[in-house]
Amino acid sequence: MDHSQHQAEAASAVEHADRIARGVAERSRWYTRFLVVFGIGVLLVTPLWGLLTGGVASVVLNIAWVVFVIAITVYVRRQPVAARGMARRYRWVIGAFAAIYALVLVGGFTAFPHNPTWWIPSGLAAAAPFFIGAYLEHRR
Amino acid sequence: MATLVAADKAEFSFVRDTVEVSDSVLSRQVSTLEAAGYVKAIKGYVGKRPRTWLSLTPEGRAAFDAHLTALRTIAASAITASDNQDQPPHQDRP
Repeated sequence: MDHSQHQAEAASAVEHADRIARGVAERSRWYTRFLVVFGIGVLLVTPLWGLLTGGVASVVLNIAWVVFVIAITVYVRRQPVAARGMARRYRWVIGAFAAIYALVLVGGFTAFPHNPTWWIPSGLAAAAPFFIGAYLEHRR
Repeated sequence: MATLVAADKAEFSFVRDTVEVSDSVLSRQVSTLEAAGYVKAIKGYVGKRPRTWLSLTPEGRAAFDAHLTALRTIAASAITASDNQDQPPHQDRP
C-alpha cells in the first residue's frame, strides 16, 4: 500500500468519526428541549407557590408539579445518548437554579409573602439558569 | 469508540444502530474494549426494559484521541502535499 492510499484511508476514517460525532450531537438535542420545558415549569410554578394562599389550588399545584417532575424524569431516562460534557453542564444549571431558588423562597416567604412584585420576577430569576443553559446548548 | 468519544454515555442499541453492526458483533467489541480498560458497560432498567449503557474510560478516551490525532495528521499531510503540487515551480533566476 502506498503513502497516498494511507492518506486517503486516514481522511476517510476521520470523516467517518466526524460524521458519527455530528450524529451524536444531533441525537442529544433532547437536552435543549428538556431545559426549555423545565424552565417553563419553574417559571410558572414559582410565582404560584408564593402567591397561592393554600386550599385546593395549592394541593392541585403540588400534585401537578410532582406529575410534571415525574414525566420529565421519565423523558430523560428514555433518551439513548447524552453528549459529551452534558452531565457537567447540567450540574452547573441545577446548582445555579438551587442557589437562586433558595434565595427566592427564603426572601419571599419571610419578607414578601403573597407579593406579586417579588414572586413574578422571582419565577423568571429561578427559570433563568434553564433558559441560559438551553441557549448555550443550542449554540453548541 | 467514535460514538462514545462524542458522548458521556450511550445506550447499547444507539451505538449498534450508529455504527451499523449486529448485537453480537458489538457485544464482542465491547467485551474486548472492556478487557482493555477502554470501555465501561453499566446494566440497568428503564421501566421493565433492560438497558446497557456504554461509556469510555479516561484511558479509552485518551487512546482514541491519540488515534484520531494521528489520523488527522496523516490526512492533513495529504492536503499539504496536494497544495504544494498546485504551486508553480520555484524559479531562482528571472
